[in-house]
Amino acid sequence: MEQIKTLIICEKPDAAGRVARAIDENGSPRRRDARGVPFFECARKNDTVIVCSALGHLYSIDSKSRGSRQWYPVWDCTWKPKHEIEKKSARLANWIDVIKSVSKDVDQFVNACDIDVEGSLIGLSILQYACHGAHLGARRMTFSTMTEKELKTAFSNMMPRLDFATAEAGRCRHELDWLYGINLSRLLTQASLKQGRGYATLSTGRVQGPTLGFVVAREEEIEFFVPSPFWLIDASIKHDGRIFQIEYAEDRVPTLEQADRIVRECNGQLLEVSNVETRHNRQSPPFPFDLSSLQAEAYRHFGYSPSRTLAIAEKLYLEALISYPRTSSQKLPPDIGYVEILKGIESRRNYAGLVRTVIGAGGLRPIQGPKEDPAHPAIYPTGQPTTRPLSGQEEKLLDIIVRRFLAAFAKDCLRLSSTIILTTGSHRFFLRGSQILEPGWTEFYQPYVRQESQEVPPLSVGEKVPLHSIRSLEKFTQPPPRFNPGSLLRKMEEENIGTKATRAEIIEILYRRGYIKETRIRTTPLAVLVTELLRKYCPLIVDPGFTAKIETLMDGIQQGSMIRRHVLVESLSYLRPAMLELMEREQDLGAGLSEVVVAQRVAELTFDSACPQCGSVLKIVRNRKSGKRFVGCSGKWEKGCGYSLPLPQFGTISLLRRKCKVCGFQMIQARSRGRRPLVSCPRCYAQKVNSSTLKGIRPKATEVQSGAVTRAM
Amino acid sequence: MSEGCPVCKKVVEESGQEYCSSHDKALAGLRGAYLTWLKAYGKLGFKDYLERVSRLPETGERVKEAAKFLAQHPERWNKSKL
Repeated sequence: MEQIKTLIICEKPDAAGRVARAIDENGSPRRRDARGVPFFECARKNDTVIVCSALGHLYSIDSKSRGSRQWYPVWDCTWKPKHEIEKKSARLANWIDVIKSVSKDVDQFVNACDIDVEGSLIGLSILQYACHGAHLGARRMTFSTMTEKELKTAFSNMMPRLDFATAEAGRCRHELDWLYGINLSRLLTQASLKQGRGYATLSTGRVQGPTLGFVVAREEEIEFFVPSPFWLIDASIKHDGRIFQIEYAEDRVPTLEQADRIVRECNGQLLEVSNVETRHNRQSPPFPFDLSSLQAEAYRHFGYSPSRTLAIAEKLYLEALISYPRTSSQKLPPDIGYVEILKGIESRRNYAGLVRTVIGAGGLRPIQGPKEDPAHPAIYPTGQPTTRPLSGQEEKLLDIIVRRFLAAFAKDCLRLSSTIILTTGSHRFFLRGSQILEPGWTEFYQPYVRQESQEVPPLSVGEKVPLHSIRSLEKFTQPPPRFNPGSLLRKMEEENIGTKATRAEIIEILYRRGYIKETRIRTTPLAVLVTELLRKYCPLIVDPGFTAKIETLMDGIQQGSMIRRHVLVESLSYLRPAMLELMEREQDLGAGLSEVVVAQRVAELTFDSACPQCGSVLKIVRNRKSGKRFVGCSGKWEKGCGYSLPLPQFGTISLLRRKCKVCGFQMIQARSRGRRPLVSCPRCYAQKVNSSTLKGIRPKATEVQSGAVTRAM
Repeated sequence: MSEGCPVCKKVVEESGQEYCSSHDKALAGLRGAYLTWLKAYGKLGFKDYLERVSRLPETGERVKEAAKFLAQHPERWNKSKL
């Protein structure tokens, strides 16, 4: 019998390991290593299966003509090995070489990268460029979890060809984003640089532009907000020795005169119960998690940024603990195998009781949300046991995913809502309460949902109760809340800006570029100016409607109703005239930008708090010999002041507006990729270090509490 | 030649404008809200109004700057397009 040699391309080495273990008939594939690149040889009857992996994208876009990296406009682009484009991707050369060498004499090629636009494109570009055009005859493995069972099924039931339409949509997205980004970003950066006041990377793009536009627009709303006064009537009644808060019928009284009159007329009066209304409220379980709702929930409960949540979820996916997280589906189809998953979850002590309740209720039918994803179901736990102790963050995220999955099978929460209407003269008050009759899903989703009950006294119509207290409270309307990474991500999703896979990264880029800062997002003057310039000369770039339109065109490619070339031509027809206009004004743009860049650079390094020894300005200074940064006094040379404070040596430091609760010094935030931002008071930290040094103890950063060092939530 | 915005001294780009676009917008907001405040309190002088608005934490920064400026230059209030 003829032997068949198959080459499977996976997206990441961990995924390759899992696929190889599932495919090997003994579950122990031979791990090989060539120039630091791992791949696996699996035995399967008489056949040989080689499983190798990419490291994300191995190919990327670059200008066709290899001109200067400062040159713009650029209208031609081509796909090249990533290591030829970026120095930091140098090690990918080995990856491509190894894939090339193992692809010789292969009879069958398979793309087993993630089932989404990026996964389809990663696999296709490797098969096309590294495997000598093998993409045309290659097959596609599709799976939503990395469990052995699903991977085996996926290998046995491969799609006969690659998902070309999905990959084409991905290719178009990359090309458009590159052309928009490279042209506009180079123009902004070069315009500023040509002013001779230092280099700063300035960027914008098809998704970045409107996203920054949202934040700037919100900042403007806050900056120009004029509050208006109104009054609240704060009242209570006393019944059987207990005090109950009541609401005045008009929740906002618009004038002082009216508020005073209400208080005057009601004070000391008996309120008569004019009606008692009761109503049963059914609250359905929350929909199963898609990526955005998981990111929002993880931010709300744990303070994880969207990018952190995605990174943790991907780890859990690669460990086969949850299904594929980059999904926009809120549906749990029966073919995922509810019973098997529930039995797997039951083996974990925390959930045994809940699982027994779900199974005991019979008729497993989870709630389904409205959102769909053609490639994946909603995020769900696989029920597989963990093979290593999970980190605290992984444990928390897995817990919320498991509980959300269990809650999906639970009954509605039934509440009895009561409203007692109390009147005196023409004034009406409401006494509201609610009682949980059947907790339903809320029992399964603890502690992520509140189970509050508010009692109401047993009053009947006609009964009279004395008013215990009444006063009017002067209040003011509030400006709209600032975005945080979670709410900004939701806004991007609502406006159809970016994809589920890229939104979190775009927000991180805005932080890295110095456009936004702090967790309750504030814009910097640079962001305001860049947005202002784009609004003036290239309004389409900050128009979410335009970006959403292009997203729809790209969805059309995926669905087969559009052609990549047409989408590219149409989209670029908007960019060309905008670029020409911007280039004509390069000098003016540069003057404005460089001024703000310099001012921001100074502001980023200068503390509000003055030097406690000489009163001079404190700044972030870098030691020329060691390269280490610290807080130094600008009075060093004039006044001989040697005051200094230590600073974290990792990440990007930004000065916060917040002052330390202990010493009043300006707090700082160190932000680095993949880590929670560290918020710290340099002065308290220095004091802690000094006192520990005297005692001969080296302090741990996490030990220092109460304003010295805290991990931002 | 224009001396710039009287509030922030920035160059005023639009010809015929007295204030920069930010402070022009802030002043318009301040003027617009005065009537609401007047109605709410019944009796409220514009000086008192400006002082109160500039002290509130809810007030936007540009509006605070404009309110402080008008409080220092009450003669400019009458120029307002009420």
